[in-house]
Amino acid sequence: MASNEKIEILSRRRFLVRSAKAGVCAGFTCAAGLFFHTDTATPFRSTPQKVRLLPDFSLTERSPRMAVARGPNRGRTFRKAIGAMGGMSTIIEKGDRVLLKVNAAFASPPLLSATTHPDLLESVIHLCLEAGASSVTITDNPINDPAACFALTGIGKIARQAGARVMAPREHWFKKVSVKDGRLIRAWPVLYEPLRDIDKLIGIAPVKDHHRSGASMTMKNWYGLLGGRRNVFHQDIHNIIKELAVMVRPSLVILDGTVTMMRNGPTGGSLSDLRQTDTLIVSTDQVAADAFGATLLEKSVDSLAFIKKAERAGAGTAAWRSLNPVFV
Amino acid sequence: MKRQRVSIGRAEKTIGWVILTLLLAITIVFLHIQRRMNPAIYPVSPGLFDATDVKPGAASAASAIPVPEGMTPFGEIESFTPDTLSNKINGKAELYLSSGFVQLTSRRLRPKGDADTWTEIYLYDMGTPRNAWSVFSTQRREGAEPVSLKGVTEAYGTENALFMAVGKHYLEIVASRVSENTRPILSKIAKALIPQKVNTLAGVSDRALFPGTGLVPDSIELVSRNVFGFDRLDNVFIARYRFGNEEVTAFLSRRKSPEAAHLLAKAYREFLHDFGGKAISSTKRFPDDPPVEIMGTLELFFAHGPFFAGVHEAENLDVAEKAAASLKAQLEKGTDGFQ
Repeated sequence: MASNEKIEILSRRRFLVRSAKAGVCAGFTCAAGLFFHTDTATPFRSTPQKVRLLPDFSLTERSPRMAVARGPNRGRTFRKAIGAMGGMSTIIEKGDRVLLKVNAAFASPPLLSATTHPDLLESVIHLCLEAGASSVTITDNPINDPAACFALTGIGKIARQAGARVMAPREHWFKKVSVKDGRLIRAWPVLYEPLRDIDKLIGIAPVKDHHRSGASMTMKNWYGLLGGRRNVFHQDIHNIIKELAVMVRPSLVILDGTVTMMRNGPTGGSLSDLRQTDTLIVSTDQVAADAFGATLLEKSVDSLAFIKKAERAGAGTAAWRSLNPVFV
Repeated sequence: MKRQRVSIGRAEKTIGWVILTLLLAITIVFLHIQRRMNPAIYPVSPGLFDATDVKPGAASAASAIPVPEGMTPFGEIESFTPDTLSNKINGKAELYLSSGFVQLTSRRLRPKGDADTWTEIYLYDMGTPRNAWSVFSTQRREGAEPVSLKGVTEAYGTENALFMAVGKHYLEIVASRVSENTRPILSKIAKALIPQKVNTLAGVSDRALFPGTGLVPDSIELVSRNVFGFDRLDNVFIARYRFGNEEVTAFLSRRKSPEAAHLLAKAYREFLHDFGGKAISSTKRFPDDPPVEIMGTLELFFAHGPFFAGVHEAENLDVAEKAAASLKAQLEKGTDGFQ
């Protein structure tokens, strides 16, 4: 019977000795916990660095705007779309230093539409300079060799010809950045140097199918600002895109659906993966731009979880019609 | 030293058991969370990956992708392992990793005297011919034309590229421009590569079990993992059928034993029910396997011998039953009436 079991009654001295031993064990466990504890996403960092947030480049003085232009010529459709939104002068002020974040992720030719098309880039640079920008800089942190990516995509050559400067990433240009209330981007290395001392930020991305996220458009384009072992984020792709949209507040996004990669994205490889959709979207609301882009991929907003997540996080609106977009 | 003994009360014993149970519960929760660890939040030490960035010997890579007559190398040979594959193809890496990917070797070549055009070769070592055929079939481009290359049975071409499964390798040869010379150049590169590869297609013979009537040409795929969103369903052959204006997806998967096939069918039924699926009245041909209606479509499936098979996301019950019955009849024939 349990009630008949006996236990030892310790003397005072023995009790104190045992209590001391237990205290040492508990203290050691707490110290070990404290030693291994981290509240950042990079527990193996070697040197502590100051954690920062990215500046907000959005045009807060005006309500979000959007325009959609139809046609096969990227230069013309961009001019038409930006004109319908009130002109480039409503985005760029005289003397602005402008950064264009392109998609140069792969060392692949423009033919495959996996990267920002040089024809569109050329037009954007020209309009920025015409609007009075004092400098235009191009950047991306490609997953392939940056030099090869900027060369083979045609982005590097056209940027220089049009009067822009290319900033291919260097190791010391990355700084630890966090997203407010972020779960994934916490003290994560971000390509920071090109963002320093700029006034306006414009994202330029093609519309693509994506094996993990379902689509790669303007919000996914910010993935190219991340450094480190960023491929781990593919395990949580919708949340990382949402956090990128919260982290980066651009002045303008340009979504190129002139040719849409309908399948086998994000790399594609065959012209049969592409469809001529003759659509170019410009917007100051990146969530709205992506929500419209989903229609080009014949997908619903509900099927692309990152769009709704970004909307709930306050990065924009998925109800693109509420922006009263101008179609030209 | 004299020691005294006292009784343990019922309350103390109860408290003791509660504490032990609580500790056990905490342990189970920890183990569960660890099992579902999100590497995006808990990254592995970068140092663990660094070694994989070391490129294998250039000589072996060069011999894997020889330079044919009239072509010249353009840029360096690159090699990627499972840990670095996403550095080359980003989000598409998961497709290969889930199918047993071993290594990617890539190289660019350009025609001599033409500085503006290049062709990139992607040579994926997938470990087995079955894995190679899996990634070949799941990426097959619609409307592509079959390509005749000596020693290769699984190849097709599009306007700017050739794609093929050759033994344990999956090959993509992609041109940067399209001209009248594109196809001859792609063929020349393919011919230089193919004699070095063993062309067997072991492990994909079950695809022949799909009935021919209504089968959409070149629609058969082998999906390695997480098929139809069900994480226990792997290694499934999928085919599309067209009956009049109706299209339906049929599938079959060989399991280790008839018992395993039955258990999988049962588990899949439970999975569908968990997500709101409802069994509807059994059909005449499948009295023991009532179709499940879920999100406006029908799932009709069964276990037959070592096979788990059926029809996925059908919109019409008659068509679903017709396709499933045809598939079951073929399995009976193809497996000597396996019961």
